[in-house]
Amino acid sequence: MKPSPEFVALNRATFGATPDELSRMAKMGWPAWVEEQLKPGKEDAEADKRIASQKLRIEYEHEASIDPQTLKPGERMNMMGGGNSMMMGAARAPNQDDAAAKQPPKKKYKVDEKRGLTLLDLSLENLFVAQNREEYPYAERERAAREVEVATIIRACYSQWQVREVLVDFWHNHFNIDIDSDEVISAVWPAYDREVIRKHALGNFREMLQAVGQSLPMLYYLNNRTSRASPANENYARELFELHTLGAEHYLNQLYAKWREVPGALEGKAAGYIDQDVYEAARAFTGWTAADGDDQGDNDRFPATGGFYYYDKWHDPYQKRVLGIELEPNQPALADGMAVLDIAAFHPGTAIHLSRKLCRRFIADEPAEELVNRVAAAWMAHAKSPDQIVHVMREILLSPEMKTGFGQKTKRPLEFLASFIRGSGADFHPNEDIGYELKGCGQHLFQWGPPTGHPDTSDYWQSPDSLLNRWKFVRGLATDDYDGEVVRMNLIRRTPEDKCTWQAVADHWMDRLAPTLLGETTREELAKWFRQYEDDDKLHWHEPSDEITLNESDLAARLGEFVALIAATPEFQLR
Amino acid sequence: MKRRQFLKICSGSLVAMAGSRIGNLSFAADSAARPDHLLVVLFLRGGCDGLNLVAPVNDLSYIAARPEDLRLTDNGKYEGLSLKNSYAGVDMRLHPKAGALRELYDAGDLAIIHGCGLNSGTRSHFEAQQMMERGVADQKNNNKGSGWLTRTIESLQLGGLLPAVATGGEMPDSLMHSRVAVSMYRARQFGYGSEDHVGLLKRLYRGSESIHRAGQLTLDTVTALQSRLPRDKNGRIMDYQPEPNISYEDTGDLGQNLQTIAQLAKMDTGLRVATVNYDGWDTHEYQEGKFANLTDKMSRAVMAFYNDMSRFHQRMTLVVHSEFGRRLKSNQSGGTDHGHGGVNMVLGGGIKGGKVYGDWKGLSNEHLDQGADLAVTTDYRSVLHEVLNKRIGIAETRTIFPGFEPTSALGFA
Repeated sequence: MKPSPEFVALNRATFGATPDELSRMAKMGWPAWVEEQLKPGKEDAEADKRIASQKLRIEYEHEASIDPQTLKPGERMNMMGGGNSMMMGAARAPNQDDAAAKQPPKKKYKVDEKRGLTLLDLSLENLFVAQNREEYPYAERERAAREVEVATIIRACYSQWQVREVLVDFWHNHFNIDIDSDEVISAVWPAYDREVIRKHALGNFREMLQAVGQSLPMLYYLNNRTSRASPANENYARELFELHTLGAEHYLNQLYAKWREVPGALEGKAAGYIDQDVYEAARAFTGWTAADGDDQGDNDRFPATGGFYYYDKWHDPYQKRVLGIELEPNQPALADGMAVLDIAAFHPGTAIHLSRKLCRRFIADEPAEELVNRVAAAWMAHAKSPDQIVHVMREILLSPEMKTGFGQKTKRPLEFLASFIRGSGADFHPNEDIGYELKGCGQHLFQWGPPTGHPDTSDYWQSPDSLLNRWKFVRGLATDDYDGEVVRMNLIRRTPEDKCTWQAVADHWMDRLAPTLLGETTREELAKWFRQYEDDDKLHWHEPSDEITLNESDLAARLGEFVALIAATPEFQLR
Repeated sequence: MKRRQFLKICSGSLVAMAGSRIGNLSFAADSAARPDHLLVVLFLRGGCDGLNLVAPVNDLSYIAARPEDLRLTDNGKYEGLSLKNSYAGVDMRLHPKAGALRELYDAGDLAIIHGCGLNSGTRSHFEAQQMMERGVADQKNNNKGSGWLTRTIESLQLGGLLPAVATGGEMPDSLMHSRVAVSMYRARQFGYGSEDHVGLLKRLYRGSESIHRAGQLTLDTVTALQSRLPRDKNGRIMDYQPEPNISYEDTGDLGQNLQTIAQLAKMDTGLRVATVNYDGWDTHEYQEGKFANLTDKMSRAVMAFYNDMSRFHQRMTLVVHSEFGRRLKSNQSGGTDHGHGGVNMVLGGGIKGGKVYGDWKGLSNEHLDQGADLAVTTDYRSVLHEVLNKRIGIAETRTIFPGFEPTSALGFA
């Protein structure tokens, strides 16, 4: 049996096809389903409700000297409400005269509580000021990122705007940032996730590129915030070309010192980039830094808003040449960097690179060139539209390739987890352990070190360690290794009452978790395993048509193992 | 006990322990295959600044190109550790935090090769790592090719329970497309359910597609390890215990991953190739502290591993390399940008260590690559070829390093 084309398309466009969504899609038709997804509404009832009620444990002991009452009202955020108001630290407040603050002796504070997700909606400035205190304990400083991680997992499982969620995951991975590279990144992560990634996920690439490049997390992660003339720091400029826009496929460094030989360069339309372009772009971005309150001496401090800041003293103002295009000397503030963003974002190579990457994510490890070119044409045609990415995604989702060739993708661990939760219909309340488990499977949500982001091909996700850990992970969930607060499988209650025999119950759960997906051999082996029992140290099998007579706890345990094994089949690993 | 003494004791007892193996060693000519040799490859990801690790402290171009905190010096806070047998007339020194490496160097087991790297213009991490791990030096043969370690395993026709392991859980490109290499975080965690569950999954993973092959390999490894891992009285798998007096303390994931290798090597699962990553060398800013920490941890982890593996010294080789070195001239962020030539290290019993190998031309502008970076004077494959050739006995490496013509051996092996 082959999975149906509808299943294949839906499974790729979402974090896992469910029987309910399949029948909804069958009623409205694939194009209408796609259109609905490409215009997500403000409402996301199920996910929002779950995020609002989710609690995460926070536990630490901390010594601090300043009582929260001494903080200025603007710095004592509403996030300080609840049980943790006793905890405090000197805000990294730029205009505060540190010497003037008379610090009382340090006191020990102990926090161990389950706290709601209180930081997700705070403004960038509030997060920066409130979360980024030097004396703040680590558990509090990284809390904001932890909340985003949990909200991301909840949305993957329960959001009705699944295409957007997959895209959010895609863009986070494309513009990879490791929150561990600096604590301040964790502090402002909710604002980055919301205002940079989510806001532009279905928007315009040029705008997103700038929002990312001017965000504190990227300015820190790729070090542009300290880049000044001269020599400039090349980290961001290099990855801008290699990873964010043109891609290594357009890196022509065999022409290292010969820019005139780069095809098109003399007409200002260089086909690719070389190291000289990296040097020049790095010069263009000197002075692009973060409003992080950094003290430059001589009464010169950056504002402390957590946003972007242009510092002209660090800028290299002289003429530059980027991909064959001349930039005049002494341009107005930001003009050099903006010009480089334009050159990179609107380059046809970027259209190809990003289109291929999107097709790779949604369709196949090695997408057909013809498909990539069609998508790239849509990319270029809408390069200046506010909804450019909607047009691009429409081209991908409505392509014939979307429905064919099952198994050209291996699920990423978050896709695997979410497809298990969605398929099984489990009631899932991910806590801080879940991100850790995903890491064990090879997916480091917001914590992938190198700027490349996770690989997006099966070679990586089919490594034995990744496979084994994902099987173990869902087995732990299905057989209640976690306390009952993380997941309630409710498998017996959710087995229809008219399903009484071994075969009927087995069929029900195989169809529920993996509709049209499992091959005949797999179904037979699974069903046979389900009805086996041990007697006198020997294996026996109930007849498929026998009624199940296990007591409730034995049946719950067996069903838990059974759904975990369904999730461990070869078919369930693939998209 | 001081580490220095300990290393010596280990080396001494090795002779006694190796006993019967000495005969083998004596005919260790190039063609004598020693299929029980363990090759460990430590990859410093991000581009390790070779000029901060091993450097000519009195080179005027070096002094002019960097502030003191990004250099090694001959006195003061950044005083490097002297290296005997370096290039004539050059005061080459090792980073002060690499004391353990210097001990290994002085003991004669560690060789350093400077000016080593990829003969390609690329300064991209992604491309450079990909080429290096595929054993090539150009974009041809790069995409989709198998890894150089994969082809090494194939040329040795290695079978056995677990001939190759990628520690840390991820499969590096050097082991890409291998049908026998297993990625593993901790051996003791490599289990699944009961034998009954494993049996069912083995019946489901029987196809020839890659997911099936990966599943088979995973399940076979589960079976092999679960029956061999030592257990306590209650049947629980015990934690790995390094040799007495060996401490991997404060060596982080690197130390943990090296312990996984040591554990597997001692379990007689036929381990012959192991990889380990050490991330974080992309020091574009604030390099001073970061580099010191990385070097300190690497140095101590390698020492702990080497001492833990004392029984294996004569039949193991550890290679340390990185995708490229970094720019001679530092930037204004207190860091260095992507460069070219860098440092390789080779460690093992019988290595002609205690010497800095390679052709050193100095750091004046005309000797730099593109006027900016330490030039590559030794193709990274020369080092690997010599290891495969002399240490493991692979005479012909043409299929392992396509397009590479071995020149005269550096002579460290």
